[in-house]
Amino acid sequence: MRLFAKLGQAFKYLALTGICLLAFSIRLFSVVKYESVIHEFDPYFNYRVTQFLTKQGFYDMWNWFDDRTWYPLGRVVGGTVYPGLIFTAGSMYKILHWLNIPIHVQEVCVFTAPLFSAFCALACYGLVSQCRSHGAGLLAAFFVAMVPSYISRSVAGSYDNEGVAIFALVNTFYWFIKTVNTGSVADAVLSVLAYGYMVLSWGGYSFIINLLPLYCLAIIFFGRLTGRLYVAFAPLIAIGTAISCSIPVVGFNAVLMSEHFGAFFAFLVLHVALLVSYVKRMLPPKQFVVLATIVLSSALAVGALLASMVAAYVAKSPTLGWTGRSMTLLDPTYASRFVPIIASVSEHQPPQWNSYIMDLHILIMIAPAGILACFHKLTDATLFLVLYGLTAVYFSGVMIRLMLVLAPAVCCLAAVALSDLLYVVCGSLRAKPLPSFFPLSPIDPAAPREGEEDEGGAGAGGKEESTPSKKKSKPRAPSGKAAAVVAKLYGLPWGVSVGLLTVVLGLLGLYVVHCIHASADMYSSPSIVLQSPRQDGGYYVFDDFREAYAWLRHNTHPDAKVASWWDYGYQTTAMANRTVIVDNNTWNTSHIATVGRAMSSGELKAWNIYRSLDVEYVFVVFGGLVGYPSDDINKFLWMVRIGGGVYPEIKEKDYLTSDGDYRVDSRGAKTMLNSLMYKLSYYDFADESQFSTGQRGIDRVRGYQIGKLNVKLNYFEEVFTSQHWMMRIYRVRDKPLRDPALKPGAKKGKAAPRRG
Amino acid sequence: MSRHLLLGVALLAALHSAYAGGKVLMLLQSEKNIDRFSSFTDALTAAGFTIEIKGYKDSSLKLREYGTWLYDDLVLFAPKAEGFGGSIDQQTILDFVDSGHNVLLGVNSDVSEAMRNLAAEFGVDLDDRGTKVYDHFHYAVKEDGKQDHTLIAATDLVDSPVMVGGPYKQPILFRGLAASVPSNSELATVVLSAPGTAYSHDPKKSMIEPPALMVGAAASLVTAVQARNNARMVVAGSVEMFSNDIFNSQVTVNGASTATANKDFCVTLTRWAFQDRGVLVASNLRHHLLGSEEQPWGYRVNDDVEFLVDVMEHEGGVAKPYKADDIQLEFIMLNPYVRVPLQHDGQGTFSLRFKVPDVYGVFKYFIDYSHRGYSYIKLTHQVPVRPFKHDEYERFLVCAYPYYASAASVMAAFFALGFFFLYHK
Repeated sequence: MRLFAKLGQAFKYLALTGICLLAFSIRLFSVVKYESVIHEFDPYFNYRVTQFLTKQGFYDMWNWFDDRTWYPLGRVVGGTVYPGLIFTAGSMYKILHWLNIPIHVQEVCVFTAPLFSAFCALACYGLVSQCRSHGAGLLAAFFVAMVPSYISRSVAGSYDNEGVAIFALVNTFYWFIKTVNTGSVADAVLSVLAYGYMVLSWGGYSFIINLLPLYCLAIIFFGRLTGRLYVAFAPLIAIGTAISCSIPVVGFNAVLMSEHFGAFFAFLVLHVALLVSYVKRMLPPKQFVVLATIVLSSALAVGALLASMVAAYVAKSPTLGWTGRSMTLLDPTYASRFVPIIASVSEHQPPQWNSYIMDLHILIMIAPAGILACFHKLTDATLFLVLYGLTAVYFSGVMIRLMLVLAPAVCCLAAVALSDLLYVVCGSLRAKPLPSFFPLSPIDPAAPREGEEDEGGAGAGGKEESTPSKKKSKPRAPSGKAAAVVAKLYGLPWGVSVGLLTVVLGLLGLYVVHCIHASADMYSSPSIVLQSPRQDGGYYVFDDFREAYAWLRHNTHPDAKVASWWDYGYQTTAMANRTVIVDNNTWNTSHIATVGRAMSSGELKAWNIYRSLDVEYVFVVFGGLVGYPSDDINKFLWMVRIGGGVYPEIKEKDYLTSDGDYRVDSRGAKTMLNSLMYKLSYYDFADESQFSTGQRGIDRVRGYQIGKLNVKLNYFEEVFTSQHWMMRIYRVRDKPLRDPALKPGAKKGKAAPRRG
Repeated sequence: MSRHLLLGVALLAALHSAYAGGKVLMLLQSEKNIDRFSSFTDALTAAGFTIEIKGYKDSSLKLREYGTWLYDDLVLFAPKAEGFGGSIDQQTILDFVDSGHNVLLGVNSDVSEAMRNLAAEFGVDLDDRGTKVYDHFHYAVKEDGKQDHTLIAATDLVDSPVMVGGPYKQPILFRGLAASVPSNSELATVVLSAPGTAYSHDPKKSMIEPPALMVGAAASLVTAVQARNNARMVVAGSVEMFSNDIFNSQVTVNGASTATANKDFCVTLTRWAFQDRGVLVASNLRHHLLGSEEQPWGYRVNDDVEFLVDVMEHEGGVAKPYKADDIQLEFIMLNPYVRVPLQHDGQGTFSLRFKVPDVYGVFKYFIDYSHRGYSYIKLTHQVPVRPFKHDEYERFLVCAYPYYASAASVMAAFFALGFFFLYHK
């Protein structure tokens, strides 16, 4: 028997190791299919900061004033970045080099996210085994290791905050629930530290700081309040807030913004509740009732006063003290009405229903069963899982990006449900030799829990609920009371059990196949390198972005300012090493609006705007020649909206046809066809497309002929166009050296600035 | 040592002469006219220029050879030229200017369309061919006594001694074509404008009603243009005003006999046009924190800093300190936060001490100096201004002592309470 327990342990660790390896390696498709390269947009900034960190050291990064972005405003990087990811990768780099492993910082960055996915699987295992059992924990770890939603943000190369933040999130929950279960101060300290790491890593920490108070209130409401919750919750709020205050990017927001008020409120309620229960214990019931009335009535008065003060403070701000981003979450229509810059990001859009199936697959269908299962055997910990699941579902419905928060919750819930099912099924299979009907005797409520624990290995969370004597009961031949319990629980007919087992295993198999497909084919593209399959089975590679950035890096003055739409800001600073006007850290709307205004104005006005910003090069991303749909023409309406949000002379309807359509063909609006964006995109395009498609000016993204074929540029000159025309770089011309006098009869508008 | 010194002196001398004397190509209507401008060319040669005189049709003409400019300056005294011999055309001349070289263009009433176009490219709108400037009040009578109302005695000079020299007591004689300058022109300066009673008209054409003439000061007789690359172009409506004939003649204006100021005026203006006068060179831009000589990467907000730049005026190849109170320094991030005139020390060093504004960002020092008659100074130098570092704030604030006290007392009270709770029975 001992041997079995040992083997079980060994098997558990083996399985966990395997899961970690799986979590790591399933994310390497991007490296295998493409190359070891940083992906997308934000990761390039993180990569650049990490480089800075490894070269200049911790304090210099903390105080870094970056003069190469947001020209001429600059950006205080140390105070505006969540540094968790960067510190993590930086320390890994330092440690590896201390061990004389001379790895390049880029490789460290590329593999950080897969590594932390493995850690996240472990944290999920811990969380669910605290909530239910080790078996369920293993299942949860297995699920989270390969859930596509999480893979989408943590493939090798996706060096973004979420890569470590999801681990930090689950880890915080794990230590918190562990503290709730054990009441140990050591665990509480670890949970505070885990929370600190979470705040360091991601703005999503406000999810924790709102979920935990909610949980705390729910516990009080259900009358399950114990000292253990106090040990878990109070330090987290008090010290956790102090920690977040000392992280520059959060700073005093941790006590000033409405996101955090819920925590303080719950903190207060917790103390009151504990005080009440203490007083209740001390006093005879009658006196308690009297006291309660007095206190309640006075507390109501004071409470009303306090509440009105808080309300007045909050009402001062137009967003009721919430940051714009949180407001977007609470009111899904808020961003599209007031903050176009948030609404313009595709990952801030609400997800479509099919992305739930795509990203969570069978889990989303099993998860509701998990909620039922949690209620079925409700403990403090399972209550937490339920709350986590429900809130995460709501937030994921608001923003597709927050599917990421939902993914671990769904994994945990599904794991609880499936593991309960498997216990019953497997138990039935093993209990089959017994007669199906036994005279029933009163059932020990602790028994089911105990059964699981033995199945899974060592004792799980609630130590006070399992006694050593019961540990040995299960593996013996069932007899008497225990046998009755077993029969009641595992009374499924053999055929049904086998059938269910097959179905479950089949579903798991499908899940694995789906996840591998998702990782291999959908989420591995680095988006700076594109591939399209060729007829001979190979791939055709579009490497225009890096080509153009390399051109900028090698052919322009190191201090040249480059303007583009903000999406490409991080990439320009990191890959081309040139100063940009705006980038993906969209902190200053009016500056972005200025660039949007330039892009949507006519040539002369745009030229003046760019000159006033000392811009020397402007580039646009153009997909019309090869059919790359996420180009600037398709993003253009957002530039108009964002520009129009600050400069009222830009009106969206001027850029739409009379029917309200957005078109760039001959029916397109005149303002549209005269805008700088149109000109820069389609300059010289007609001839090129005649060469490739046989017809002049056929745009392969829009699928029609463009409106104005002969585009003339007076104030900009083309200096570089990448191989597939995906990136087109223009130089803002200098003022002319001479101002020729206009003579009657001479052609007008010949203020052509100097070439070259 | 002495040999080195000698070498240095020799080099300096070579440099000096090279600087003072540009190579000038002078194109005339016909080579026979060489003698007509000999006073003018002799004066220029005396000023250090090397002059090569050719007819405009000369087939060996070339300005550029293998991408190198053969001349520094160009004199075009061929009003009727429709084209040039050799490899010179309008585009070559414009390229010549755009690469920083200078042109003196002299025309007269027989101006060709090519010359008018060239002047227009410079930013000067010459009046139509055949028109002449008339003035029935301010005209000069030559010694032969013949009255000619097209020989204008002009005195309205631009107030810029560095361009024209002077002041002149004698009039400047002019016979030829008027020009106009677009009212929004930033680069052109009317050097010599016609007297208020003058007008420009083609006698062969009838006067239209109402007359649309260039009248008075609106008619520019000599116009100077300084391009943004400091290349200088002078368009004179009269070739004759450069000729020996006018230089040396004694005339009668309004009954008073006088010599002409043409020689001094023309030579000074030409020296100006050929960058022998009024050239400012700004160099050695430097800035530092007060109390430190090192040029920093950038500043912190509220730093006290000093900005210095040397500005020298070059005349005749000799640099001397420039003295002016109107050079402004701007310290710009989107808007100028500082815009103050620089102080000079008489040795050509202009400086300013100021406090960096309490705003962080990427600032730039910016000097955009365009004083009439002098070459432009446009300097930009980027300096980031960073906020305080995390350890540069004051560690303890006096006003926060109550909070420190409250924090300390809470800690002490908690400790006492815990001690009491744990150990008191």
